[in-house]
Amino acid sequence: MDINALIPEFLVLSLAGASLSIAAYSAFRDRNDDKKLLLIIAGCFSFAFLVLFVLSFITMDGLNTFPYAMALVFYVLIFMAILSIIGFIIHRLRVDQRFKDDELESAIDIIESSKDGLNSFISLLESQKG
Amino acid sequence: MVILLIKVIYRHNPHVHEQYGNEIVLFHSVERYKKRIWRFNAIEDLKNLKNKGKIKEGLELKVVVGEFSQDTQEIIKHAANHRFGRVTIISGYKVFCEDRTEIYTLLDNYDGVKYLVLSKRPNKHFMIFGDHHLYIEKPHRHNESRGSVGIKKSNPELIKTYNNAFNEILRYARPLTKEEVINQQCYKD
Repeated sequence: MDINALIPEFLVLSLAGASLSIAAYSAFRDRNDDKKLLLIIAGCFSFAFLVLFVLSFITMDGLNTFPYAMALVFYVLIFMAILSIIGFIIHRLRVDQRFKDDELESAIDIIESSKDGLNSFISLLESQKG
Repeated sequence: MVILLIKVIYRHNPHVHEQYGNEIVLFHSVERYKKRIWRFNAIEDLKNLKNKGKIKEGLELKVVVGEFSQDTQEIIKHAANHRFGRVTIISGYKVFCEDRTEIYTLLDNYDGVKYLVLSKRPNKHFMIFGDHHLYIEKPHRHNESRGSVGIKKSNPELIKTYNNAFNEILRYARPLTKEEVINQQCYKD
């Protein structure tokens, strides 16, 4: 089978997959592992799209100089857009991770402040009694 | 490959901090349901360990709260039903009026439950589950973003600090019998 016949379908499929999983990602309210999974799925789809895109570019032939230049511009623009989507996905993954770290930090804050307050409460009880 | 990926993502990955404990969970103030479930789980966890014979000594639950409210009552009941032989609650001297009969019934039904009051409402609230899990609440009137922290398999030093504090507070607390509870001072709505 000719690979050229498959490229358009695969392109559409991977793009649809990427956008659907990003849409699902933004529909989730709470931060948990499901969200992370969706982001990674979106990342896979975007990479698949990128591979196909490059493939379609190198199998392209029989163009004159001007159409070729235009096609090149188109390819470069789309390539950059997809790259930035992947960048966005990685950014989100890192933000979520940072959020998790912050959570741990504020948990530790609570423990510390609670621990420090214990003694003052005890001495308060003591002073009231005495 | 996909299964491997999913396994990596869903790997149980709790917060760990050497100084505090193995499983640190932060609850935001709105997550009331989640907090309850966490505490129920902690209780069942210890019961299972006890049933398997991994814990030799009797299970004990120590609680310091502002008021012996409905939420606390549920936790206490759950603990008493799950092989916790000793449950001690220390609270402020007031309760919510409608809770008084409930507390009476609770104390009537479970012998292992002891209820004590302080002359002053405690501002630090915590629960110690056996010698393993710890639940710390940050009371907040103004800042809604702060919540509570649950720690499973807590650091022994941390547990010790809280245990000592609990014993100290216990010295100033006055035990209440179930008859006294009925006449306890209460918040009117």
